[in-house]
Amino acid sequence: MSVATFEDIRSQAEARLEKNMKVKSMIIDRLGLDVEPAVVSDNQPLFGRGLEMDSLDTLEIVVMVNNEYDVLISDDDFEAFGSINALVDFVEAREV
Amino acid sequence: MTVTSEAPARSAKKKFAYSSDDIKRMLPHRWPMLMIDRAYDVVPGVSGRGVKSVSVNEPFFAGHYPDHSIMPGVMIVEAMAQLVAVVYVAEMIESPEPLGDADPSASVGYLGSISSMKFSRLVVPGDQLTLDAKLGQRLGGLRQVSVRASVGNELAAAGSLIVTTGRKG
Repeated sequence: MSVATFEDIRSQAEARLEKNMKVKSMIIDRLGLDVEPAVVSDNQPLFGRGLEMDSLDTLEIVVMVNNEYDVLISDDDFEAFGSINALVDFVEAREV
Repeated sequence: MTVTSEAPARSAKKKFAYSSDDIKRMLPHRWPMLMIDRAYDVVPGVSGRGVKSVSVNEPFFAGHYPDHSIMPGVMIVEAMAQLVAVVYVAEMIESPEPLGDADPSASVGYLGSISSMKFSRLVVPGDQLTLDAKLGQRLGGLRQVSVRASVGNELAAAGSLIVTTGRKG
């Protein structure tokens, strides 16, 4: 078993931050939200007090994720909508 | 209700055509809001095409505009949405399970979102709109659909809608 170096871990973390930022920008753009991607935190809820998404917005995200990452989100995958981190975790676990 | 394709191996691939009388049994809309004259190439629950012939007698031309008849963009969207409803209801009426006394037109849902729509050509009396709808992903009671309308070879409008499947929203 190989041991990850500090550099490996750092580059993985940077790649993940970049992906989170890309997903935030895509969501903001798709839903026409009046907010800067940088002020959306990775663990902020997408519904309710977070980004205030509703069920129509959720389907927009499902279509967006499918177009961008070829990952399908179904009715049973509600954990994907917990936060930006939860959504990116969901995508990373399934994208080819 | 005419089956237009050669008997394919899988019934899911069958294409259906519906006359205006058929459509009146599938949709609750009536004059002056029934915006689709015919549907064809309908793959139930998947996709379909439709025709809306635009006459100078359409009631909206009386005011839009009195001296310059243009079909309102929202009415084009309404025609698209009604084709989507035909594709959706077709799944119910073409299903091997008997409908019984159920009225399929009562299950037609609502427009949830005009997510994107671009209008690229004026639609005027005498034009025949060819409508195209492809049902996309679903989540709960919502379904994304891609729609377009053209006149001859010219694109009139294209975009993406969200509709509710059924009336619970």
